[in-house]
Parts: sequence; structure tokens; C-alpha cells
Amino acid sequence: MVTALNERTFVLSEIESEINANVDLYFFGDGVDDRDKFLRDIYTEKFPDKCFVIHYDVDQETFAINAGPEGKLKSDFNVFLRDILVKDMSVFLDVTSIPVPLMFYMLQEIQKHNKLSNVFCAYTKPELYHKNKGVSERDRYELNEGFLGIKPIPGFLRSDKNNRDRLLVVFLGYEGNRARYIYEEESASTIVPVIGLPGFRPGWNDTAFEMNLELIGETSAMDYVEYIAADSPFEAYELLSEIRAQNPAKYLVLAPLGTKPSALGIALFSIISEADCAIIYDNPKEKKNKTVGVTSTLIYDVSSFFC
Amino acid sequence: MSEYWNPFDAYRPELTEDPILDYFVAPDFLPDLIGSRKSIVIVGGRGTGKTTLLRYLSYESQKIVCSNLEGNYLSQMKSIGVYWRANTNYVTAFQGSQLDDAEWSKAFAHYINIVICKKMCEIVLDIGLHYSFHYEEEICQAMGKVFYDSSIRSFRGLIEFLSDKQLEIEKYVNNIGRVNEPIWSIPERAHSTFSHELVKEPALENKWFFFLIDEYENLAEYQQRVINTYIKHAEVPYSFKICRRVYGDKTNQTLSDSEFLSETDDWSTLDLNTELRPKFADFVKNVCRKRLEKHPVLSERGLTNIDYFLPGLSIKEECARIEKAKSGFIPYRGRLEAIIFNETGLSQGLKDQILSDVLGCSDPLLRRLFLCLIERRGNKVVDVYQEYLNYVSGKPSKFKEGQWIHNNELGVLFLLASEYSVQKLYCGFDVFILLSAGNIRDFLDLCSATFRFAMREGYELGDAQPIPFDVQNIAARHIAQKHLIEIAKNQPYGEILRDFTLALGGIFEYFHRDTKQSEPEKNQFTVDATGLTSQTREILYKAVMADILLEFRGTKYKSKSELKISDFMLHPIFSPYFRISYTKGRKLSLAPGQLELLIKGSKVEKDGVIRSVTKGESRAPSKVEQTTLFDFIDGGDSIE
Repeated sequence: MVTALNERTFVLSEIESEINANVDLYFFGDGVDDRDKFLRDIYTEKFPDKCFVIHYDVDQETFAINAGPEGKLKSDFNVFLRDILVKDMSVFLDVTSIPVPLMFYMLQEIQKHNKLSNVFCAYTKPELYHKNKGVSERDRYELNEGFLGIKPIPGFLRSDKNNRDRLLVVFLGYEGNRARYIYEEESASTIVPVIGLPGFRPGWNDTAFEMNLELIGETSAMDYVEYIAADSPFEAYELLSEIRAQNPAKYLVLAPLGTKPSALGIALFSIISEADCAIIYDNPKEKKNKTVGVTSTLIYDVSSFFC
Repeated sequence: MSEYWNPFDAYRPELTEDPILDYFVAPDFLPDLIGSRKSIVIVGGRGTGKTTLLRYLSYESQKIVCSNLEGNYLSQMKSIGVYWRANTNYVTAFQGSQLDDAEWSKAFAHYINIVICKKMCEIVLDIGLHYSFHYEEEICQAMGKVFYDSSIRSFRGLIEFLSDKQLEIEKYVNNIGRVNEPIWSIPERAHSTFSHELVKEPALENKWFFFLIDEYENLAEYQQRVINTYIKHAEVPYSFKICRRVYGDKTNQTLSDSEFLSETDDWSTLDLNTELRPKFADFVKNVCRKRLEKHPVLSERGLTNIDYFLPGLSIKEECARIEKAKSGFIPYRGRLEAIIFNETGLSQGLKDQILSDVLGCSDPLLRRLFLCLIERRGNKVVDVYQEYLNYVSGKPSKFKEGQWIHNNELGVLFLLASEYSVQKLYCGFDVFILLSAGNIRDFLDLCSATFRFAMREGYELGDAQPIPFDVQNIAARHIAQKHLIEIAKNQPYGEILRDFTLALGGIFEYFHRDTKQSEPEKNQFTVDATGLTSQTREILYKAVMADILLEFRGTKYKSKSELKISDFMLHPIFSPYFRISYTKGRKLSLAPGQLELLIKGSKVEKDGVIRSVTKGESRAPSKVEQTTLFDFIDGGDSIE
């Protein structure tokens, strides 16, 4: 059993042997970018019987395991988990390749199941993002082919029992129009923009800021901008805890538009805080090969949230 | 430098801290809207003030308004507005393949019963802070019957109960197939019962309840049927006021397959575009004044007229400015000479005289218009010249009385800008009014960007200086680009609509730049929509609904089924991007097949249509082209 790793971040090489020795089940998405394939290729070859590659259809809210038959997420996924999860198991989720809605849903469902020994999440950083040439500054990082539009992440329809003023916390990414869309849909009285600093690479945080500068200015939110490490779910979690503590009279509405690790932090916070916040998400249709290459893989031990 | 303060930032009514009353400007039709007990459907584009109106009618706002009147606020309040917004993040949860529409209808109607009654309960509890209720227990028992619970005895207990019911239905929707179905309340019973019971209270006697439903267009078809049923069955003491976009109605059917809403019997329409447009400029000035008055220096100096800050240029002034930039150079001189000298039946002496007079004319607009007119088929040089002579000597002339100048001056300005490679400026209050086309949010957006860009250049609001033309122009272009980028959010057709807009804009841009055109300024298209496929018609509705196109037709808009032969204009807010006219210009006639390809065709097919309508001289831009915040001079030379 892997011990004393709670709420800590590792480079894969530091913990690889322990992961290999102790993890019982591995979950991957079926993304096609280099970074999506990176761990999946390694582990499906090394431990084929322990690996589950999940295809998720955001529109239909259906899933399929290892290219098997489709099931309905809300009614069938828990049956799948119930059949494979056993008390004291250690599980590993590659959040790089798992779409954001599925990641939220899986983590919530895992939390409902038997007490586990360890829950690890992995994130592989890309070498670079594709950049569109000849388009406007704000349109430069068009990482998605479009959007299904705003609809709640499965399992996360929530409302505020106390009808408080809403505080929108937007974890900003490179696509400025996404944050604006969310802002226009959400009737929040205050907006807190969150930027990854440092970004995965020098200068990337500036890009997130630049892409959303206009919205930040228009909403007079410059004074409320918060910075967290782009690759740290724990900093995202801590930040949200602080925002919650400082704003007890407001209902938090969280928009996970930034990096996957920050989305992981939001998922952890929203699952632990049991419905006292809402999630708003625009369900992008991700472009294939929107990123190129891999740099490093981080492993987050999030066991303390689940075990 | 003073503190950054842009009076036009954070203008959205949903998001302003002191939202409605601080900035509310009463439109002329407000008394009718408040006074009418009939259900009303308020139709308007994005940013036309629908939400502001509904929020103003809500109990929360009216309480403040009526508190400022004599007597107690409740006695002054004729109606109690219960506001509910169809929040996309909630209403889309009640959709999906897990249930069929009939099952979803029950769940959604139950949800609506809960949220509306909860809202009513909050209002009642607030009223209870000032007045005592005589029949609280009786009312709550009646509501308990609606929700099949006999234990509710107080409004506070009712709101707790409803909160639990809300959690219950959320749990059900989150876990469909895994948890038991709640006991559904009967559609419309809840708000109907609550309204009838509440008016038994002396404090609420003779009060009327308005259920204010915002963003109706966000509802799925079956959800609209639920709300339609409520409208259909509205009775004393309540009715509905619904806000929706043009083409935001997916059905007029109720939950009964044989029952339909009828405008005559069930509701009346308030079209904000029609109501606001005639006095839009005055309305805008009042809205802006409320914002500018917040600045102490401007308020003290009485500089709260937005038109003072947004000076513009007349067309004549701008033509002169363009020509001045390239002094002594007349790019069309050769064409003018050729046409005059090739005209038959004129003596050489007269030809020389005409050329000399026209080239010697000090008004560049008149000079260039002369060329347009003699290039136009059917016009003889000598006739145009005679009209010219009449005009310059102050006699009646087709140039003035015949409206030649009036009808062509803006087009000539675009031609001159193109021929001189100087950018046409989009500036001035009147131009911003035209760019925003009756959309208050667009106007405020233009103001916000203008002040923001000016402040980046060191402009201080407290100095109360007019904002330079070129800064306004950059802001207008920036907003146009922003709108273009944001088209993509109109799912599921976002990308199709953006590419269509780019193609259409490219065509109109060509017509404005084509110096060979004798009739410039084409910026509309007409099409026989009956020849379009249903999907293309649907996308066209979406384009109108999303304020990408303005639609003009003979009869007042009523429903989608009436869409036949229509004229469409690219929304003027895009004109600074494509450098085209912002007023209704001439029409391009498109065959249904051409429009099909412009909307749904491949890049090659789009280019084919564009080549055919522009005679092979233009292609569609495939991307929103790059401009930066400091891109002052794109598309032409910068001049002061």
C-alpha cells in the first residue's frame, strides 16, 4: 500500500514504482492527443486487465467501457463501478484524457462507493497548444470545434436553498469568449477571475490574462483577480475554501474553464462541499490534436478526499 | 492619473450591484405595461432591455419605487411581480434521453411549481415584516394540498418544505434511473392556488400577481408548452409577462395537443424594436445621462450628454478629410475624363468646360457623385451637368430636390475611402445610434469600449473632453470584431453562422469598395424563403434571433410560419469590421440555392456563390482577421 501521500503532488518518476505495485484499477479517457495517449499506452500494455478506457458522449450522456456497449451515465455508471470497486482498493484516474464532465461525475461516484485506500489522479502536460494563425487576438487559441452549450454536469444540478447573491468564480483559459459566454449566462453579482500562475510554461499565464482582459475590465474585476499554480488542484481547492470563508453570504458558482488540474480542484471542492456551490460549464467539443507532445506527468494523491 | 472609472462598464442589468433603479429609464410604454392585466409577451433582441423591464416590474424593485411614494408601499403597489429567469444551467437539466417529453413535462412542471411558489413565499415573508397575515395557516394548508403534505402551517414552514422539494427534484434529475420519482404536483395548480389564497388577506386584497418569465427562448419545446398552458389558463388575480427573443418561440401549443395560444384571446405582444426605435436616441441619452451623472465633476459641470463626448463628422466633412489626406490627387480623374470625352453629341469646348467645372468643384462629395451619376446607365453627361449647374447656382436641382445627394452620399463616402485608401471612420453619437440599431446594450458596449480605449491613451474623464474620432472608430471596430467572435456561441449553429456572416460581409464589403459600381452601398439581401430547406430556414431564424441579421418585411412579425419573402440586413454593429454602410442600403437578390450554399456550403461552394454575385472579384474571408487593441490604421492610412 502506498502510504502518507495525501494531498501531495509528485512527478511520475518519483512514484511510478509504488503506483505500479499498488494501484488496482486504472481509468483513462479515449482522447487522441499525444498527452492523452501517453500514460494510456504505457499502462494498457503493462496492465491490460487493470485498465478501463472510457468513451463518453457529452451530448447523450452515455458511456462505453473498452469500446463495449453503451450505457446511460446516470443510471448505469454506478453499476459498473459497484461491480469493480472493492474496499481498500487503490485507483488511478488519468484526468488528462478524461473529459471534464466525466471527471466530475466519476469522482463523485467514486466518493459514494466503498472506502478506498488511495485515489491518484494524473495529469500530463503538453509541449504546446496549437495556435491559430491570422485570427484575432482573442480568437487565437481556438481549442475547440464548438460548444454544446451550457448544461449542468451530470449529477451536479444544484441550486441555492438560501437564495443568496451569486459569486461567479471563473478559472480562465485561453479562449476569452468562453468566459464571456459563462458570464453572460450567469446572473452573478460578483465575478472572481482565476488565472494559473505560473502557467505550465513561462508566459502562458499572460496569455490567459490577455485573452480575458476585456471581460475583466468590463466587469471591474481587476481587483478580484486571483492567481494559483496552473498545475495544482490543491491550490484551486484552497483558493475556493478561502473564497467560501470570506463570502459566507454568497453562493459560489464555479466555472472550470482553465487547466485540467484546476478543474480537478474544483471537482474536489464541489464534491466535498456537498451541493453548497454550483458548477456552470459550456461543454466544448474539443478539437482533436489541440495539443502537441508531452513534457511531464504529475501525480496528485487525492486520497484524503475519498478515503 | 486619476482612478480608472469607466461609466459604461458592468452595465448588464443582471450584474449591476444596484441593478435596476439606479439606471432605469422609463420607456413611454411603461404605464401600459404595468397597467395591463392581460398577459403580455415582450419580444426583443439581445440587449434591448427585456430583463431590465421585467426586473423593474418585480416585487423587489416596485417595493423601492413605491416606498418613495406617499403612504405605505404595499398600498401603492398595484401588482406583485414574481420574477423567474429560465436559467440555461437549470432548464437544460430537464432534457435528455433518460425520459420522454411527457415524463419530463411532469418533472419540469413540478419544478416550476416549486420555484415560483418559493419565490412567492419569499415575497410574502418580506411583506410579513410590515403586515400581519390573518389567514396564514389556511393558505398554507391549501398549498399543502397542492404538494400532498398536510403538515404545513406557516409561510416559513412552506418555504422550508419547498426548499426540500427542490433538493428532492434535483436529486432525482441528478440520478435518474437510480432514485424513486417524486410525487409530482399538478401543473399550474401551485401558483394559481397561492394567488387565489393570498388575495384573501386584507393586506393583499385587490392585488394582482404578475408572473414575470425571462429568457423564455431558453426553454425546450415541451417546456414552452408547460408555460403556454399557464398563460392560456391565466385568470383573476394573475397573468404573465414573458420576455423572449424574436423567433424565441418554439411552439404555441399547450400541454393539450388540441389547444394553442392565440394572440387575440390569450396575450398581446409588445415588440421592443418597434416601440423603442422611434425615440431610441432620446432614450439612449437618458440612459447614458444616468451613468455620467455618477461622476461628480461631470455632474457638477452639467456635462452629462453622451453626444458631447462622441463628436462625429458629417459625410461632407469626412469626404473633405479623406481628400485632404492625399491633397492634389484625384484617383478617379482618368475615368471622369474618359466618360466625358467619349460622350457623343457634345462639342469639345463643352466637354472641356464640364471637366474643368467638375474638377474645379471644391466639394469632393459632389465631384465624386457626378462621376457615379454619369456612369449610371441612362444618364447623359449633359443632363447631369445641367443639374449640377442648377445646384451650384442655388436653383432647383435633382442633386438636392431629386435627392441625388441624399440617396448616394454615404455610398460615395465609402467609394472615396476605398479609392484614397483612407479608412472610413465610424464615430459620432448618431453613427453609434445607427450601429446599435435599437439595441441599448450594443450602444453601451460601444461607449464602454470608446472610453476604455481613450483612457488607455491617457484620457481623463474628469477633464470632460470629447473623445477623438479615431479612438471612437477603433472602439467601433473592436466591438464589431467582438460580436463576430461571439457568434460562435449560438449553438448548435455557431460556426455555420460565423462563416455565413463572414461570407455575407465579404460580399457587401466588395460592393462598397468596388469603384466601378455606380450604385454603391449594397448591404441587404432579399430571398424567397419559401424556397429554402427547413434547416436553412431554421438557421436563418437563428441568425435573426441572435441579432446577426435584421429582418424587414411588410407585415409585423408574428411567427416563424410567416417567413416568406424577406429582406435581411447584416446587423449594423458588424459594419465597422467589413467597412460597409450602417444604414439600409440597396438590396442584393439571392436565389434560395445561393443562400443555401452561403449558409451551409463548403468553402469552395461559398466562394462560388461569392464569385457569381461579385462577378468573380471577391472571396469570403475564412477567419476573423487579426486586429490588435492598438491596430489603429488597418485598412488604410491613418490621418488626423
